[in-house]
Amino acid sequence: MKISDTVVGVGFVGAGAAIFAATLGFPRLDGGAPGPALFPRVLAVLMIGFGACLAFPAALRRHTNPPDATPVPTPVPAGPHPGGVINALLVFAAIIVFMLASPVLGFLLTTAAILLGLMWWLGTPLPRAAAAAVGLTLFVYVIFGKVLRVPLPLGLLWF
Amino acid sequence: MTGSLWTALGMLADPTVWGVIVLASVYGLFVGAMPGLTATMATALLVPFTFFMEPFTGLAAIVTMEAMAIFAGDIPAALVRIPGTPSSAAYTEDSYQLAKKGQAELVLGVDVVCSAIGGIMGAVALMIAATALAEVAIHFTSFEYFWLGALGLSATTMVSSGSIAKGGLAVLFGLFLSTVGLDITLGYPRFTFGSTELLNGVNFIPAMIGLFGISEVIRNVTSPLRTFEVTRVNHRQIFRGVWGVVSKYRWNILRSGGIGTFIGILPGAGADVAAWLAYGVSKRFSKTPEEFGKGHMEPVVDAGTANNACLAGDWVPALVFGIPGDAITAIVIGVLFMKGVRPGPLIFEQQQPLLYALYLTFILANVLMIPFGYVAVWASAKTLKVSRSILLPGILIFCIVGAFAINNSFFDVGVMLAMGIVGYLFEANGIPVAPVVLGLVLGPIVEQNFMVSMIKTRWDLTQFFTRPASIILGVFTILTWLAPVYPWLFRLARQRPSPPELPPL
Repeated sequence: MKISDTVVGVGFVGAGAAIFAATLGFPRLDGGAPGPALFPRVLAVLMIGFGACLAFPAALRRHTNPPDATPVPTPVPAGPHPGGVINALLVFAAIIVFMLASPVLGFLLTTAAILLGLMWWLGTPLPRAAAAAVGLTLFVYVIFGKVLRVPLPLGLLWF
Repeated sequence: MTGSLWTALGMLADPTVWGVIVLASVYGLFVGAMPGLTATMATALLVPFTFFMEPFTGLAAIVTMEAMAIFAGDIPAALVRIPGTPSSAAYTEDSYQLAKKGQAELVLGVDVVCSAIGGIMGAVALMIAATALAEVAIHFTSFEYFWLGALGLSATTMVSSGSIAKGGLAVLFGLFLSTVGLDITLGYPRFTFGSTELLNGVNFIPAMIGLFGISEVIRNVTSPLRTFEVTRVNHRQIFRGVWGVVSKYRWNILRSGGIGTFIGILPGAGADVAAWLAYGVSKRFSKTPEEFGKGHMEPVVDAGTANNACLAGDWVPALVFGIPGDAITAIVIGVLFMKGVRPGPLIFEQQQPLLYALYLTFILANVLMIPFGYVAVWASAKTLKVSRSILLPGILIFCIVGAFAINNSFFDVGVMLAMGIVGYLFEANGIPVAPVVLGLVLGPIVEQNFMVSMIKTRWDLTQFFTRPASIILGVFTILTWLAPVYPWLFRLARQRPSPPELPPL
């Protein structure tokens, strides 16, 4: 998800300002010396400065470039492919599903379902995806749940 | 010393350690050989496992894994023209063109041997430099540690990929994350938004897994999941002719080993910077610079030696000062703290066996690279054919469970998700992710030492320039800040018209 440098720079300027504002309520040390607020404030000011350094040259470049300027060809692939953003959102969704569903359904069912869904969506044939999802789920369960003794959520399956 | 050395040998002789070293080697070779997955991600995913190990076993796993991964990055560079890790990018074109000319076996053999030689050179330098620097560092106070932290952050900003502004913003974001939680002066909760989980700060390991693991999964699933056309290799012949190449370029190997180690010792610069610098120096002094990029062995030797030499160099500031040399050693410092080992000059007195065992592991990992490298080349065709539509969801699950396993907490999984989104957005917009972790690790060092110094001296800033070591470090830091001005000054000096020649008297 490519955003223009101007927007990114302005975003950091805003973040710096918000951090600075949040420190206004921080207490001071005995004798009035700056305490918990000092370091975040220095960071906030630097963030505003670096953000401006990123935003303004980018804005100036855009302003001075003729509107019909031909883009310079680049050897780097130009951004994600059309389905890429959906794939990214699905990965984020899978993590959220794990957080919400695994306490109820348990680690084994949730993980197998997530793996099966993602593998199939990314292009693995369904029978192969099912076999890989079950195998990988059991592998992770044995490594973390049995060998390292991590208390993975059991949910519906209690073994 | 002899007693510590025997204890170290005893630690290394433990069968569990050997088992972990073998597994970490295989893991490192696999991740390194897979285009799109980096050694940093491999380290972040390894950390949850090290959580359950003895301190030395965990460190041995990381040392072996990273050495193998950086070498293995050379395999797809030669066979499919895609560097397995960013450290192999400098000489990918030369490696691939050599493979196309029918020298795939030779280039991979040279990669293995030069990586091992570079790694051993770096390990020797680590033993000498770390011990020498520790004797100096024992006299350091909060002033010097503040400047060291500031120097590390400044160098990270200047050498990070992309623009200085973007590198600086990444560092600042990491520093901001380090301020979350109770502050050291009054114990005041900063930026916790009422969450008790954030009182101790942003949990380091889930943050690392998000920044390096999740963001790499996202980067891979948003690119076309293509299969690779792999150049065929006869693995039995990979060492044939290697001795001739190594012998011909022996001075290059020495020079690049030195460059790699030096870059490693500099805080903030990693193996990719070392490889590019060694490539540049090699081209500058080569008798055949016009051959670079067209399938020439010289840059492969130089940059391939430098990137592995850099790895041990990166551990010098990490062990001596607690200042990470790169993103991987930043993670290592987090692991050391987690294990109750505080990096700094005192570990050279208090934890000598651990230190010696670590040195021996560096040597061992690079010796093992020869047989393991052979196996990795043998398995390369199969490795590169592994289905990415199966591999990437698998990595995702390891990320989730790894983040959960640290505190058995879903909150940590949430931290990983948030950092994954940040890492993806940063990478997509050319903001480097590695400086974030350096900021996160160095933030407390800089803030604590600054506040302690200020309270100690009743807010007298001049005290930062009164001790000799503090002055030197302070001047270096300020010179680093001025780095963007140097090219302009050089240009100005060059453009100044020369004075007219006077007629002979």
